[in-house]
Amino acid sequence: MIAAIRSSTLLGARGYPVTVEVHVGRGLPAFTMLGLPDEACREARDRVRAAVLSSGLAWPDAKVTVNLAPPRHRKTGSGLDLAIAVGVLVATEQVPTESVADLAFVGELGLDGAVRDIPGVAPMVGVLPTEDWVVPPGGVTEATVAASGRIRTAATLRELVEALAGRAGWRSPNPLPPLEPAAGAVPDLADVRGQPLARLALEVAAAGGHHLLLVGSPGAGKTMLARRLPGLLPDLDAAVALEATMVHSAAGMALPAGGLVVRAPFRAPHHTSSAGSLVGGGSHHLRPGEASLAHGGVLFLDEMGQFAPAVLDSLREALETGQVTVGRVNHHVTMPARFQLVGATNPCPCGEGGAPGSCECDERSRQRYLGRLSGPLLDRFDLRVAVSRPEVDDLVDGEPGEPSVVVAARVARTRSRSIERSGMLNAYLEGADLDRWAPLDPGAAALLRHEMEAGRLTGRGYHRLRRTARTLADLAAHDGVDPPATIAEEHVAVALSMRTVLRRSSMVGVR
Amino acid sequence: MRVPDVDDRIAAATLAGLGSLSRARLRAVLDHHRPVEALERLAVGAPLDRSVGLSVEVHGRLVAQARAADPLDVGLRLRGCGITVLLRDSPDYPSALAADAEAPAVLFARGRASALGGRRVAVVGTRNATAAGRATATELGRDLATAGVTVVSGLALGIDAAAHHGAVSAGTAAGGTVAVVGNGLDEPYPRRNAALFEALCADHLVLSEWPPDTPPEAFRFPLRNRIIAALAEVLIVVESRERGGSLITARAALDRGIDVMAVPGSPRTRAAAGTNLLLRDGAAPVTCAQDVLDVLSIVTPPGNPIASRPSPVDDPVAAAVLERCREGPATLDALVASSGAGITAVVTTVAGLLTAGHLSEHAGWLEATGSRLRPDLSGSRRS
Repeated sequence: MIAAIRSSTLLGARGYPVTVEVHVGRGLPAFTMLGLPDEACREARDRVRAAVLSSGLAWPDAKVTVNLAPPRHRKTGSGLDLAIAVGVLVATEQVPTESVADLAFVGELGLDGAVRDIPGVAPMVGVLPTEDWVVPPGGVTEATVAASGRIRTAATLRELVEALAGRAGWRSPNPLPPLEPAAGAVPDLADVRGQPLARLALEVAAAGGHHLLLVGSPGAGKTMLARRLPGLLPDLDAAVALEATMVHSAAGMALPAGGLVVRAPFRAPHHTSSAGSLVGGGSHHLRPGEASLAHGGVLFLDEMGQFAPAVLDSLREALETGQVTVGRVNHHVTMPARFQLVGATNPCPCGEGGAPGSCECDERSRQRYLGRLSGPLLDRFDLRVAVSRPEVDDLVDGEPGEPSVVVAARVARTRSRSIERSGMLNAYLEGADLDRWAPLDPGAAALLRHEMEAGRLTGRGYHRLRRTARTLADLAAHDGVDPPATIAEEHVAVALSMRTVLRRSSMVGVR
Repeated sequence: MRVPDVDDRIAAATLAGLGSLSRARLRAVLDHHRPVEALERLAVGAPLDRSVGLSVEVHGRLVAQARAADPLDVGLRLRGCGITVLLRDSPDYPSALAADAEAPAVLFARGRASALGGRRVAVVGTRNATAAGRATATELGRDLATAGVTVVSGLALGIDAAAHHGAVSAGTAAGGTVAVVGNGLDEPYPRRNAALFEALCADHLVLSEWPPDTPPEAFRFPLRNRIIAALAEVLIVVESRERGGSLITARAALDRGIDVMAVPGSPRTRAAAGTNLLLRDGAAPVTCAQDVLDVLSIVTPPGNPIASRPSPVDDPVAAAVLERCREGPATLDALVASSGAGITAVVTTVAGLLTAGHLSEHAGWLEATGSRLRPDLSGSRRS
C-alpha cells in the first residue's frame, strides 16, 4: 500500500516541488522518514500521528515509511505535515486515491488536527502554478496570487478528509479574516517644513532611481525624509510585485489585503544587524534578508557608519546585480534584491552638525567617522545631500510643503519618460548611453570641467553627476513638453549641490 | 663614573631626556649645577644640592635613568637630526624667554636661531577653523612678516598652520616665523604639516623643550603654549571656541603682561565665541595687520601690499549669499531662506561663487573664503 502526494518545500524565496511517498507495510509498528528532512520537518512524525488520531481517524498498526523525493534536497519546515498525513490516509485507504490525484498540499498540522498557517505559501504554491492546491486558510489569498490553479482550503484534517471523500463540500474561502490590518499609511511629504534641498533630492531620487545619502546632524529629519520616499514611488509592475510577494511570503511577513505587494516596500534594518539578516541566510531554509524584503522599494540604513563594515560590504552584490546569492555547502539560493538605497549618517561623531569651526571633533576624527563608509559603497550614491535642522520659523509657522500626490505625479511622468527614451531609469545610464541621452550644453560642460580641474570632482563623480542632472532636467520639463535633449548649466549646478564634499583633501584651505 | 667628551649642551639634552626629571625639576637642577656636573653626580649616585629639593625616591630613580642614558648617543642623535641645544645662560638662548619665570632650562632648536632677533607677534587659534579664519590667519601672517615682524605660532592644524604659511609666503627676507611644538624635533607633528615643518626647519625656526623621540602627548601642548606666549610681544587669537588651547595661551600671555588681541567674528558662529569673549573682556580688536603694527609702534612705508579680491556684489542673490556666509558657515537651506530666492537661483549662484573661489564647501556647509580683515584699511589709516 503506497501513496504519492505532491507538495513543496521552501528554500530562500523559492519553492521546490517535493513528492511525499508513503509506504505502509508489514513489520514492527514504526514511523520512519527519509529524504533529508530538517529538524522541524522530522518532527512531522509526531504531529501527523497525533493529528490523525485526534481527528478520529485510524493510525496503521504497521511500519510506515515516508520518503521525501527528491532526497538530495534538504526539506525544511513544517509545511509537509499535511501532505504526509494525506499520504498515510491514502495508503491506509481512509481517503480514496483518485481524490488526491490532481491535488497538491501544503500546511502544518496541530496535534488536535487543525490545519495551521505557514510562511512561504506563495512561493511554495508558485513552483507548481497550474496545480490545484490545498493550503491553510490563512494562505488562500497569497496562493491565489501565486498560482493559476484552483485553491482549496480546510480548517482541520477531519474537514479535509470529508471533502476529499466527497461527503462534504469544500470550505468556501470567503469568510477568511483579512491577512493584515491595512499597512500604516505612508507618511506624506507635506509634513516636511522648509528643507527645500532635501525635498528636491527626494524627488530626484524617486524620479531617477538614484541611491541617496543624507548627511546631517541628529534631529535634522533624515529618517523623516527617508520614510517619505516610498510614497513618491509608483506602484510596482506586475513582475516585480510578484517577486516581492514571494519574498515577503517566504519571510513570513504580513501581506497586504489583496495578497500582492503592490506598493514599494520600506525596510529600515537597525545598525546592529548582521550580514545574514541583511542579505538573507540562517541555517534552515535561508530566510530572505532585508535587502530582498526591500525588493522594488527602499532600503534605509540609518546611522550608516555604525553598521559593521563587513555587513555593508555584503550589500554590494545586491547593488551591482539586483539580487543576492546565499551559498551553503551543498546548495545556494538566489533571491531578488533590487532596491533603492537610502543611507543616513551624521557628519561627525559629536553630532553638533559639523559646522566648520563650531564642533568639537577635529578633522581627523571626522574623517575617521565618515571613513567607516567604504569608498566603493559611498560611490554608489548619486545623491549625497546635506540635511540641516529646519529653521525654527519653518517649523512653527511654515507653510506645509507640496503633498506627496503632487510630487508623485511628477515622478511618475519623469520615470515613464526616461524609460520611453532610454529603456531604463536615469540612475542606470552608463557609458555610451550616458553620452547619448545626457549630453551637456557648453555652459554645463565648462562648469564640470572647472570642478574637475579644481579637484572637487572625480571622474566617477562626473558620471554620477550627469545622471542626476539628467533627472533634474527631466523633472523641470513641464507636462506635455519634452525635456531638452541637452543638459543646461543650472541643472548641473543643482546636481553639484546634491553631491556634498565629504572629504577635504587638504587641511589648510588657503587659496 | 667619568663622562668623557661631553659638553654642557649634550649633558643638558641627556638630562632633559630623563623620564623622572619634569621641566620644573630640570630647571631646579640646572639652577644649581652645571649640566655636566649634574649628570656626573647622578651617574655616580652622588647627591645633588639640597636646595634642588629632590626626594630620595626621585633621586634614586634619576640615578638609575642617568646610568642607563648614553650621552654620546644623545649627541649623535642631536647631530643626526640637525638639532641645536640652547641653554638658558648661553648667548643664543632667546632673550625674550630668558627672563621668564617659567622659561625652559633647555631648548631644542632646528633652523636659524637668529630668527628671534626682531619684533615678535604670536598668531594662534583653533585647529578646527573656518575657511575665513584660516584666510585671516594667513593674511595676518603674511602682512606681519612683510612688515618685518616674526610670527610665532604652534604648528598645529588650522589657524597655526595658516599663520605659518602666510609668514613663509612673505619670503625669507621678511620677518619670518617661529614654531613652538610639543614633541621632539626629529619628527613633524601633525604629519599633515610635514612639508611646512621641513620648510620652517630650512629657512625659519622650530623650537621645543623636549629632546628628540619625545611623542606628542596631550599634556605637552598646554606647556608649549606658555613658551609661545612668553616669546611674543603681542598675542593675537584669530579664532577660538569658548574653551580651547588658544585661550590657555591668552591666559598665559595676560599673566605675563603681554598684550592680547583678538579678531572679531560674528556672534552667530561658535568658531568666534572665544575671541568675542576676549574682546568683551578688554582685548584689543584686530581688523587688519596695521592694528597690530600700531600696538608695536612699527611704522611701515606707504603702499598697500594686499591685493583685495574684487567682490561680486553686482548680482543681488550673490550679494545676499556672500553676506550670509560672511557671518558664519551656512547651509544651502539657510541660504535659500535668507536670500528669498528660489533654490535653483541660489544653487546656480553658489556654484558660480564656488567656482570663482569666493565660497568653499565642506559636508554641506558653505563658507566665505575671504579673510575677515579689512583689506583697504592699512592704506587709509596711515594718512
